[in-house]
Amino acid sequence: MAEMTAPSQKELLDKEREIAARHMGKFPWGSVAWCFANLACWLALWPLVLLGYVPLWLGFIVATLNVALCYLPSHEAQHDIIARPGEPLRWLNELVGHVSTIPLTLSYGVAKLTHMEHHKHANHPDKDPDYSNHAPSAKAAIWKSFLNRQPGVSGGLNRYGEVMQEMDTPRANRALTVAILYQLFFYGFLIAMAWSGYALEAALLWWLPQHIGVTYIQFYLSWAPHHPFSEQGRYKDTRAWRSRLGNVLTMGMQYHVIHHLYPRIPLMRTPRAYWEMRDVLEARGVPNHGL
Amino acid sequence: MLLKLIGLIFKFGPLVFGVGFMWPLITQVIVRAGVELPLGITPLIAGLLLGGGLGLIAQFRGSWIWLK
Repeated sequence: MAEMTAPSQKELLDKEREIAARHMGKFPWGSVAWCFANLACWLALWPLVLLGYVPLWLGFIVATLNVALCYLPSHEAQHDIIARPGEPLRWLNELVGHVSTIPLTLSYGVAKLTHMEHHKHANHPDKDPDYSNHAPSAKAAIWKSFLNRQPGVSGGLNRYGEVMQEMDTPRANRALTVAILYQLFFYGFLIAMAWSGYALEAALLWWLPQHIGVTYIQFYLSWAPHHPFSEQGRYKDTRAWRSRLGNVLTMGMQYHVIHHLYPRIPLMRTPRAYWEMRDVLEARGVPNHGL
Repeated sequence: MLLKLIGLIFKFGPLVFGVGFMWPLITQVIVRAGVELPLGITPLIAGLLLGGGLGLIAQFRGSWIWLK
């Protein structure tokens, strides 16, 4: 009977890469359709609600979903998953990146630059732009997300502006300029709507959904997969975890460890890639936390 | 000139938001809810006091809810 031996580190890495290769380079049709359908839905809410075809309470619920859902297609673009530089569909990659996060008022340039820093330095207290989302519990994370949005606090999205200034490269400065224009438009639009008699509509179709959406995104896309933010390095800075809400309501983030190992695997393929890679990851000491 | 103006808007962002958005928002909430205000205060004045007050707190305290 042949003796069973544990696979070497090289064998594990080869197996891991072979699985990852099967999932990379696939065109993420789902994410592209998601971007445009979500944006069109949110834009359509404005005339539908203002003209009385859709009640404001329903518009508020749909708008909140739209904001919560708008980040991930842009995230695919940030990683050049739709098309890499020089490829024929590069324009589509950049278009999705730019327009998807309009409801979130997050500029593509800032999102991309800060996200690349997050990948390079995940969980580093000073270098990871998302480190300020760390908190000891789920409740504390939601409260922290809210506190980080206060004007005098350096955390959450406020931290992104500081990161751009610290980078001080032409690209970062350009991204910061666009981000400032986004903010001016957002607040200018809210104020103009409010003084035209539509303050409640502006509040419930954009301002409040944006706050709820940011909390949801920071909780599921940052806090949950990186909790407890204590370790750095490959296989350590991101975790697999099981949520009671399941895969769809956590926007695939139970499998976020796959994204940090192979960022060019499209979001919708990360669950399959995880299940194929699970044994390899376990052998490498990546805990599955019940997944 | 334009850059200075933008800088000023951001510097006084909470106050601008309090007066520019919270004031009319609170006013319209009071009107739609049909709340009777004491001492003959109109919804517009109540909106200014609450929205402007919140904006002042956020401006000088650095937090809309006092806590940071």
